[in-house]
Amino acid sequence: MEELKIRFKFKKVAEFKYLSHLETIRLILMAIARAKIKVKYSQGFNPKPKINLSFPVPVGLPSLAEYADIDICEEINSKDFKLLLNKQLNDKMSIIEAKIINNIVPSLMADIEFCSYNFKIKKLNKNLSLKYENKEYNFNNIKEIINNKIIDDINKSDFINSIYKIDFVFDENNNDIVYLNIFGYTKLSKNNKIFKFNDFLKYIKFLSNNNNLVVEDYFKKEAYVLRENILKTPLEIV
Amino acid sequence: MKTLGYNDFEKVLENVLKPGRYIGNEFAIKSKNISELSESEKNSKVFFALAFPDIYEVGMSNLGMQILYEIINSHDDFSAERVFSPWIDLEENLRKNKIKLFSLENKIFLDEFDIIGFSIQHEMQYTNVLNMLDLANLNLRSSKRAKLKKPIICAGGPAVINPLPMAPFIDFFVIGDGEEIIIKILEILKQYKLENKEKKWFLSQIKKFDGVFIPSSYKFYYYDDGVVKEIKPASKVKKAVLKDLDKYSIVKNPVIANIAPIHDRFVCEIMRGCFRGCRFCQAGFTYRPVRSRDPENLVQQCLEGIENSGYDEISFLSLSSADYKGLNFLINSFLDLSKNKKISISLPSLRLDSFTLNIAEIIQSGRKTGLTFAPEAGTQRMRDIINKNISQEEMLKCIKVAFEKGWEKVKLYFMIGLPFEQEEDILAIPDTVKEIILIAKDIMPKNKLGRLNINLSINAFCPKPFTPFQWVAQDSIESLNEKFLIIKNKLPKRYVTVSWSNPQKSKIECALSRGSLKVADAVEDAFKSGAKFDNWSEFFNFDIWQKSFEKSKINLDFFTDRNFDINEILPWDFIDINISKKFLQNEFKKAQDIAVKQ
Repeated sequence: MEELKIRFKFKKVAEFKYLSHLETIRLILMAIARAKIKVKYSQGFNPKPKINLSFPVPVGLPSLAEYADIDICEEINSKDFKLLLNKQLNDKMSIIEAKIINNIVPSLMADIEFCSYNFKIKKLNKNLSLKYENKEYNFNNIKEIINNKIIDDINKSDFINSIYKIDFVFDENNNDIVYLNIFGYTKLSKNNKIFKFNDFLKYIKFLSNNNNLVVEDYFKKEAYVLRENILKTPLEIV
Repeated sequence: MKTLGYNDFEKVLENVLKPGRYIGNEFAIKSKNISELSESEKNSKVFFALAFPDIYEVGMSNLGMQILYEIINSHDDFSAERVFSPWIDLEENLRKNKIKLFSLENKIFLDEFDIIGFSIQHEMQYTNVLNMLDLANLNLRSSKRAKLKKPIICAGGPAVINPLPMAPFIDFFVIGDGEEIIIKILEILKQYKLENKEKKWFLSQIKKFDGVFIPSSYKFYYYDDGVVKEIKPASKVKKAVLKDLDKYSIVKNPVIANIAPIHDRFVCEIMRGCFRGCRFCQAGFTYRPVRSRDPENLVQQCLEGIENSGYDEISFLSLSSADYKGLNFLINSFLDLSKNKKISISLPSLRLDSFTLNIAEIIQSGRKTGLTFAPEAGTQRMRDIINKNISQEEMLKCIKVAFEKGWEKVKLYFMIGLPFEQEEDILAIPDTVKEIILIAKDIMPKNKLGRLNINLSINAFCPKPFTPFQWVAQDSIESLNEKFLIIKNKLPKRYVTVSWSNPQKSKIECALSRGSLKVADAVEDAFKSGAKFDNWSEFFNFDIWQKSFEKSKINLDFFTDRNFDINEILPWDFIDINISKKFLQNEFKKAQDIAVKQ
């Protein structure tokens, strides 16, 4: 019998962000069964389909980048896999891309080094002057707050040990919006800590609140593995 | 129709346990999508909220919900959406934010529906029904909703076969099988909506149908002691009966729950009703006549269902699957045709004997997870009294063979507090367990004996309406606890685990199931005093219930500890379940005769 491994990327947004890791696996396996894709089972009295997911995303956090590897025992191309499976899934939790694994790769859990998270931060009201720790701040726009205050605060916080990289992207058309892109560590390597999303979310909400800003939207954007010091997505390496 | 916006939805789900319960969007939902409907379409369709007074995982395991959901939604003019009891954390958020309970599909606020239909499976869910009405910001009593055009509130299900304790809160009840009658009712409701008729008109139109009970059309008169003197009018409410189960196919496209329901498998009802006539069993009488599905048609439908749903397990439901004539054919053909799919079968009500043990072996295919026996009583005398036709020898023989074949786990169901019970009937329960252990020691290899597990489940008997034991007093809490202790102390410590149902809960269940209209006051008071999820042992509060009965000036013991007179008018006598009171009286006499003889 033909056997192959498929790696697929799926999203989990809107209402589906409320599903836990195990609930997600259950739904995907049932969808695979409905799609009549033949999966390989483990041996033993309680045979289970062989599926491995990337590290659980916190319940409530929308994700555009969940990954899974599954063993299939029929010949199927990745396009059909995606197409058949998406017919059985809700758009809000559906396959973005699938690839047949042709080389030997470590498991997703072992391989993924970073995840990137996106936060949309907005000005709460017109007034951007504020008193903070007995200092008077007067900012003209959101850029100034971020550059002079927020980045400083994050750098001074404990979180910095769990962050690989921070990017701020300013909206060219709207001075009141900034997108914060955080690359957090998902496993221990040198002196880093593991990035704890929920704790950081509380912190960034607190920081924003103190600075007349509001965190509006956040989601998990991508997961990365490292190959020769270059960040690659789990699908780029298969 | 007002719906919950997404921002508010996110707000109420903050810090809520298992939010997946409330997200809707399941595979195979069938409601009309209201965002695709024009205003005039919305005005011409009837919107039905199918309400289940327990949490999502429990309600999504309920076949009745899936059946009605499919039937209603197969009509163009009707749309059914589901709503379950919110867990306490969501309830808290809803109340704190003053947000009304909403349906799963289109997140429509409950009070915006044309009709809300509760499927009530158990008496201990009554307070949850009231809680859901309250969370919809609706008045609990139908008399106070008289001027309200919508929603109309109805209820059905096994726990309202005696509807009286819930009667003041519900506009009409459906007694019996819901499949056919629900559509007839909704046709009238559509006319009521389109032609802007009066509520009275609607109720008078549906009153003609078998199965419909309208509380406002019956009056109850009592003697001073609380016994019913007269029920007016004398005409009875006839139970609705679906004559031919095969008129509807099984639910081949069930809604796939987003989080695992308590019974997470594909379900197929093979038979409704039961031939056995165990005298304590309400379902055994109220679901008569026995109706079976044609096994030949069923195999194909089940295969389709498995394909459509993606389940790898199927459960064949009935009250006693061993009595289903096509069982062997069904299982063999199903296993044959699904061979390469690794589908497992479960038969939750398989009555075990040497014949059906083979079936158990086939369906457990090597896993031998455990066998369940329900002798219900310890002695042959007691089993004869309750008409449970299991003989001790047959059962022990079967257990012996099971041990020989490699089973190590046995579950046993017993009831205590049965009518005419004597000490020997209690003592025989631990004796039976000891005998089983001796058999095991004889047969099982020594090195495997450690794995022997006898799981004993002891429940308090609760007399139920429409059974031959509907007249008998329930054993007192003290006596039941004492009997349980006797059993527990006589049980061997090794190999045995024993569980005991809460007799306080059983007492309230008894009062609610045998309750008259007056008991409704206690139900309302209990709800207002904080009773909810009474079926969950961590929530059940006997104190609340006792006080609510007191406050409502109702003697709780009158409904539980009293032997009803065989000739008195019973509160539920106005309901005709197709079995005469005479028949039940005779059955009771038979039991009495056996008890007296020995």
